[in-house]
Amino acid sequence: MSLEDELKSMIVRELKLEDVDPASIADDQPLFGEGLGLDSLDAVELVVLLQKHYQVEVKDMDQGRTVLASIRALADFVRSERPGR
Amino acid sequence: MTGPAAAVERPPAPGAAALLVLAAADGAPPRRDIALEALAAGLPVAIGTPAAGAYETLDDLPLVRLQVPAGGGREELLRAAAAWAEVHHVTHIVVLDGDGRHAPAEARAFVAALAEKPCSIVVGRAAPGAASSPGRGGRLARLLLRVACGADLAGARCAFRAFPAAALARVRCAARAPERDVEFVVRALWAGLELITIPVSERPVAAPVPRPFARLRALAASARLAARNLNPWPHRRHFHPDPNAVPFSWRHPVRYWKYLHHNVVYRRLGAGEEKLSLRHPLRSLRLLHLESTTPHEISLACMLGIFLGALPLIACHTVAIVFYATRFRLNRAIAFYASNLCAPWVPPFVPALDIEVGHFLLHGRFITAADLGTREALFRTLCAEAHLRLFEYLLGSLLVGPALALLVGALVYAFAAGRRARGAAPDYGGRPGHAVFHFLIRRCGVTPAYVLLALLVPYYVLLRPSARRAAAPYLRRRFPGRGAWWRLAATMRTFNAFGRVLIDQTALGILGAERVRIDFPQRARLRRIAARKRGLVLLTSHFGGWQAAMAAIDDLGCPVHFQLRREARTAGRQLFDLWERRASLRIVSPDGFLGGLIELTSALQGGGCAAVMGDRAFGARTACAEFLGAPAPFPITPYRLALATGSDLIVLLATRTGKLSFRLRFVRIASGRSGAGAARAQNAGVLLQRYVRCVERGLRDSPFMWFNFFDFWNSAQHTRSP
Repeated sequence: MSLEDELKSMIVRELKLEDVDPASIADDQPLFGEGLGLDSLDAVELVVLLQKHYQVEVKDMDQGRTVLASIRALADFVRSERPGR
Repeated sequence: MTGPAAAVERPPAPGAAALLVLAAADGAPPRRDIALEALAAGLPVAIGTPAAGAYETLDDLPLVRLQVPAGGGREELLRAAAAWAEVHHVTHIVVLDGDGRHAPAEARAFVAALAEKPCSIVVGRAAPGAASSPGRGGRLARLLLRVACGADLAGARCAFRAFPAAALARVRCAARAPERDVEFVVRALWAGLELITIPVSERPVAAPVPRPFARLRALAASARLAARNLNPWPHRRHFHPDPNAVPFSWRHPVRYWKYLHHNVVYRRLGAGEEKLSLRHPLRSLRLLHLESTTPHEISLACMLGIFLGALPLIACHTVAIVFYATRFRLNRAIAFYASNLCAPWVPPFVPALDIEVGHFLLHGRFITAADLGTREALFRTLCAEAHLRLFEYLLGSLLVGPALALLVGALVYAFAAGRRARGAAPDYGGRPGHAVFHFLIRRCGVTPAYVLLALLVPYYVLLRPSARRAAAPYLRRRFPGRGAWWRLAATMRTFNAFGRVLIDQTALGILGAERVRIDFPQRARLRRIAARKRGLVLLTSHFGGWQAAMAAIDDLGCPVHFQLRREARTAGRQLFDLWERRASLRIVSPDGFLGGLIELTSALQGGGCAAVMGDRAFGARTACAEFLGAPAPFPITPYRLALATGSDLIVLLATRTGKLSFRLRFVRIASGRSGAGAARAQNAGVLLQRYVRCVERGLRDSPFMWFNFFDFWNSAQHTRSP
């Protein structure tokens, strides 16, 4: 399973997106707003999940804007920041 | 102002029953072509016949020939026309010069205007630059005429006009032509006619021979009319547009008062069906504040109030201000409030200044403490020289009053115009107000600022219905069953408390944290909780002095990330500056990406502190909780934030206990628990309820410390299940 698929499954499972199939999420689909429809509270959960599962930390707004844009951006960030990469 | 009317009448609509009078201009007979044009207008046309054989060119035309005495002028012609009109049941007269200056065909527009409003005087308005255009009368004369009748008599010099025939018998003029034309219009307005101006064309004709001192004569006539209007004695009112007008009668004064009240006061307000009533003082006060509120009208009302307030009209100030504000169609409430700046019950600077200036004008020096002597001598001197002081007061006020009025008027205009330019509702504070308070705090300390606040709050609350509306939802729920008067007093108390908190927090920013006493007995316990480094969410509210309280938590061993919307014009600007100087407090804007929650989450994950408003959603999700007996939307973010990061959650409540003094206490409502999914959502709801109970307990002890000035319960916030 690729990192992108892992992240999709984690988001659907942990954020309780019951009507969303992980496979239906495109890698470039925006996570917030018109895309997957996540909001700021989901962002809080997501940042905590990234810390918990991948030991990576999103530190500020500018970084968050880039990292949380899509599954692909998230995966790239995890790959670049994960300890022992 | 409406005066007593011995016989109020309302002329019927003229329809075709209007007489078109061609007047002789400068003694020349009306031109034949103009007479033909007049006949083509479809109205009976009249001319004067001063001498047999003078108008041979008009002999064959079907004109009404009016007998005018030899040497008679326009006035006599019109009186003859009025007599003819009475006999032939013609109600209105349209008059124009027969020299061709104006087109008679345009008389139809005059008749149409009179058909709509029979109780009117219609005056033609020539284009700028024409012989009868307003610019020829002189600006000062025009201003005086405005003072005389409250209307802009732009076309009063135009000889093309129409009016009820009865007006000629009722309206008496003293001036001679051409000032008589202007005076006739002014007196017709005083008599109750309404002014209508109609644009008319003007053809070039031979200019009349200018009279010597024409401008001066016009100015004198205007000044005389203005002076008469300033005389409080009412004008005799002969006409009224209302067919049910009630004339004054000593036998039925109540009936007349009711009529006057409804038709003058109520009509002037123009506020729908609402009207002034002693039975509804609050509503009446609100209506009074609605009239004449453009920047220049507010400024003029202030100038009037200041000027009259500076005069020694002992025990007559209010009557004079209300009278003249009504006469000049200015806002009476604002004029009255402004006059209080000169009143002796505020520190009597203005009367004292009047006397000093008056003394200086008479004697070339100011009154000094040495002149007054001892206290006993002072009393004796005051009694013995009261008449001298009163004269100096009068003399000085004639200089101080206008100067002060101009100064205040200019300031008020600049302020009001600035507010309007920014598209904001009329306000009584803002940047200039803050600047005054900052100056006082910086130079004199907080006590003078408290005193100024106490003087301003009643005005603020009374002048701004929106301020009362803003405080009402909370006060209604916190004190159900209380009446409007109690709520008004409570609103003032709330705004006073709010203002004092703002002054204290500004003093904190300006004078430094050491000047403010914050009683925080739980400080050591909060430090211990923060030292566990598992994240700490501080939940603040618009209760008491939360901003000042934040200054007390700058020693937690970690920076506090405060989610707060920074507004440039906030009264606590200095506090923000202070915070920014300190590394211990970092402001996170809720307008940033995802409401700044990334920073807060990051801070909490690192074991730091995040401060969030528990009663302000900033556009994020809300959930309803029972607050003071009714469901109200609260943001759910702080609870989800604390639960997601496993942080402690603390409710901070800061109460202002006195001058530059606060008491801070906290309640821990969550201690590092975290859950997932539905359990987390459920926990968030429970935590929200705990938070609301804490706030309610705070409001039970300090009921006037709730500073959310909007309908919190019905605020349009995005509400979702937690």
